Amino acid sequence: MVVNKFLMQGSTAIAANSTDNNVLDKQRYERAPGLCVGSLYVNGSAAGLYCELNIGGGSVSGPVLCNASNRVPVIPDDVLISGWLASPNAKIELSVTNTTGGVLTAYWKAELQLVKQRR
Amino acid sequence: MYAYRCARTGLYFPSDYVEQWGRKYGHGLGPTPVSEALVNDYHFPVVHQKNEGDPVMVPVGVCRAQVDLVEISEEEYNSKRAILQTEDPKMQQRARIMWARQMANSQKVRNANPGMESVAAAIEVPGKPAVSEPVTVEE
Repeated sequence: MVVNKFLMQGSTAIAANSTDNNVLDKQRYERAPGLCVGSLYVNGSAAGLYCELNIGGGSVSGPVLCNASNRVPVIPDDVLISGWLASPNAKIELSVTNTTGGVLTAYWKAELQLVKQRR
Repeated sequence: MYAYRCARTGLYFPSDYVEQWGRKYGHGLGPTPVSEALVNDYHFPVVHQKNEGDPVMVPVGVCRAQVDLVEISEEEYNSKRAILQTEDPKMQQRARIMWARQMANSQKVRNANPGMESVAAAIEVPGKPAVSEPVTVEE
């Protein structure tokens, strides 16, 4: 069976005034399964979450504000950034910071689409 | 006076809440005006951290309930006025209230059956909105 699309989705509680360095830690496709073009969707349960995307040690975004929709991300409404490339085996890191005094939930979804290369 | 009432928590928002949606209120909540009052998410599995001294707080989130235009007295508005996101951007005032409510409700939730309805019934505190009223811990 040929698989050319991959998905990671989940929710992570972020303690007050703290950072989760990588919410994608221990996920199956934490490292890109091949040359992929990806889309990232992130929601917070309330205002005050910031997230940052790094691919293979390179920064795709600095800390950017997440929306506060309190739901599992809906496509395409909750897209944060799409069209980024991940090389084979590159580590995908999504760091989430909670700047508030309460525990917030980060809802995240990362879609990876395998890119076919001509030889 | 007129105000918008949150259908879930019973809290009141200012009369320009819908008119100023996306400007003064509801940042990051999408195009449709909904309630930005906070509710506790007791269903989320709580992650315990190392060396924790205090009981761990369960996550909070905006309830996104419907808001309805109502005519009420000024006293009632002031007694149940919601703390707005713009007034409390770091959630310091609201987190204290949510924490007290969690302390009051966590035992009830633990004793409740795992069915969603019974858990929802256990955490319901009649007459007490989720955010702005001072909360007394029930024994």
